[in-house]
Amino acid sequence: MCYNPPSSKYVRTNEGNPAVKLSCKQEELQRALSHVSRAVSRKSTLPVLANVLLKTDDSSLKLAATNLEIAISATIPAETDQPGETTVRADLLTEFVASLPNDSVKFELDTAGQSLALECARSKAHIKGLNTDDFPELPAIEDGQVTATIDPRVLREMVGQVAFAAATDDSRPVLAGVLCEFQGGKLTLAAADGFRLSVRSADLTEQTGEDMSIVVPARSLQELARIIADQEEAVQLWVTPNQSQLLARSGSIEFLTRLIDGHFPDFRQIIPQEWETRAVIGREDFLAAARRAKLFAQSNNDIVKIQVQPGEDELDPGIARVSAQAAETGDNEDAVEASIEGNESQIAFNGRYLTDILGVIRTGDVALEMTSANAAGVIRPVGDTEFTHVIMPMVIGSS
Amino acid sequence: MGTSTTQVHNWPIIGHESAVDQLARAVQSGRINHAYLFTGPDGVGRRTIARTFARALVCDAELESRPCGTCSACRRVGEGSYPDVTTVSLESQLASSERKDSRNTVISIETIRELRSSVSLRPMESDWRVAIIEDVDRVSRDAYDALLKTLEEPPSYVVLLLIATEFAALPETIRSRCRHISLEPLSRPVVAEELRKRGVADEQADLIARLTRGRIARAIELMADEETLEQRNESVKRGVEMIGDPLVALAEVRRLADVYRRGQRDHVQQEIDLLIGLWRDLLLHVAGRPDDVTNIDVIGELTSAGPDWRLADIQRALEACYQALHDLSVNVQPRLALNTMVIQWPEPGNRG
Repeated sequence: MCYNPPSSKYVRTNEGNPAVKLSCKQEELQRALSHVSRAVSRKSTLPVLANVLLKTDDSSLKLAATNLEIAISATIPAETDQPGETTVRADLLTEFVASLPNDSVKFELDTAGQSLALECARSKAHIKGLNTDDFPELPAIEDGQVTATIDPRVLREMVGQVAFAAATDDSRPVLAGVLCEFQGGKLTLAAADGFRLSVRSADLTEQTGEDMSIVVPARSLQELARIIADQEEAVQLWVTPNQSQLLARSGSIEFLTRLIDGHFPDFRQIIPQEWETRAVIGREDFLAAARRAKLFAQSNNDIVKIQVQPGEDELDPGIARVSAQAAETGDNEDAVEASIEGNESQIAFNGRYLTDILGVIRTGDVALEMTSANAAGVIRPVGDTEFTHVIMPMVIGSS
Repeated sequence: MGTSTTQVHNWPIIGHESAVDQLARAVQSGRINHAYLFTGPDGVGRRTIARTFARALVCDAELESRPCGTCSACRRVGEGSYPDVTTVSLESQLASSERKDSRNTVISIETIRELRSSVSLRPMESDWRVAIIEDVDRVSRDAYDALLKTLEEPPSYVVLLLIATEFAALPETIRSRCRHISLEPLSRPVVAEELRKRGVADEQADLIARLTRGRIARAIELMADEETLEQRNESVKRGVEMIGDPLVALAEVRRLADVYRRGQRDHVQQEIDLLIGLWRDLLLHVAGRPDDVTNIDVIGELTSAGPDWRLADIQRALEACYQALHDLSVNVQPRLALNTMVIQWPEPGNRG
């Protein structure tokens, strides 16, 4: 054995052969990049955050990006001769790879010059890289660390039904988050923006960690839901011991988000326990009526009024009138069939809140529960006790 | 080694001993205030100290040897790429703004709100989330209220480092919620010594120390900024000629008036400030305080322009310069204001 001195101080591995060679499939690379580039920072002043980290290991290529709020990484199979890493501009690499034919992509990474050469079919390119030293250190889930596992479809549906209700302004940071409560094998998500509250529970596939509550930025959770859309494997979730980050892994994709500090309001207190009037309405009819009313409500603070009227007998269950009016535009009214329990009643909601919630319910019928025109209304899917939505009413005249 | 060192810290900071001592002790004892306010003139080293404090908080080394300056965390804080140390300033606001053309004169409420929601996210790599807020004197009125909210109830892991020029100019509500660290200009020999250590020749080191008046960060900046130094030398040379010869002065202010009309008002103001500096030097020299002279490299030429400068004349010249600055600020015709200035200056050939 003879000792070969390193040819350059930047070369960390395999002295005498500084270039790392690697090949992978264009299709897989493109899919991985499309996931990872969701975490690329758009407005950061740090060049390295506009980059995607490329890291080769035995037989894989790991791609990662972060905007310091979330981080996404994806691993794809690759043939490689030695480990190496660099970062290159994410937008350039993503668009270049997307434009390539579905063939094998060959990389050559010059670790000393931080330059990445790509070759695919008849195309080749050199992309200038940046040293990986400035790229943040991202923790990863290790085996045995999992807090809980959940079906990706379930998690995706839950996020879709809850995250939209989180606050979008920065006035109370904790309300820009979604409460995630792990308790006794169940996950409950809750979000509220001061005018509405959405709560959804579901069984976890398995809960291995202790019961706990964390607040995840709504944006981050929506991003997680998006990237697990095409995943089949169960999503493993891990909350770091200091409860600073939530990590998720499904198949070859890993996700990280920082958590929000602060106390989430006790949402269970906000949900009305009783009702005076309960209307069961076909979801699609209700949604169509709400969308029409919203057109007219636009120039009147989005006020959409719902009047429910019980029927005369069993054969005539009742009717829900969904209406809006604006002094300058005009007015409309839809009469939707509804079965009403309790007294005649009316309530007004922000039209957007109404279409938001009706758009994410999956059952055929929804129940609208009211106590008075000035008290919060509750909307639930009929036949599903795991989902509750509360909307504060808008104040309307006594007419 | 197990022996205790005589120095309590190893911070790479020149001067500012008591401030550094206080901060280093806070790091070592773990008793960190949730907000610190650094005040002092621009270029005195406020940012360097704040950043070094941030490094010390997130450094990977043992408490006693923080900041080590070599670990990944220390290095990335320096580069501005460490996830748990955020800096907000007019500069960062402009860089992240979509409207690059907008006038970037105050720190807006949006910027502070964004910071607030950013620090509500728990740390990523360290135990702390450090936010350095520069230009606190330039925070808009609405944004002060938003900043106040953050100062009032920050999450437990947050350390806010505010940087401003004047303590007294800040609202009481901000001042009372921060540990105040006042940074004074360093003495001239300390600055000159540091410049010499960095390879600047004796004479030049002395000159830069005088020009920057104890603002060490500005001195180190200027040391490497040949273009600015060259411009300064030319301006000073011109200024000396103006003071020595009324005809040169009249020709020169004619040029300045044109420059002013073309909109380069700041440049003209700087030129007048420089003239004020030269007259001031002359005054100090004549009054027997040669050691306080700023433009030491030209004081010989200045004094030799006339054999016996009188204090009263120099004072009149200074007053004329200040009057010109004022006149320009209230939109007196620039040519008139500047001519009036030099006409009131004493003539070197016709004194006494």
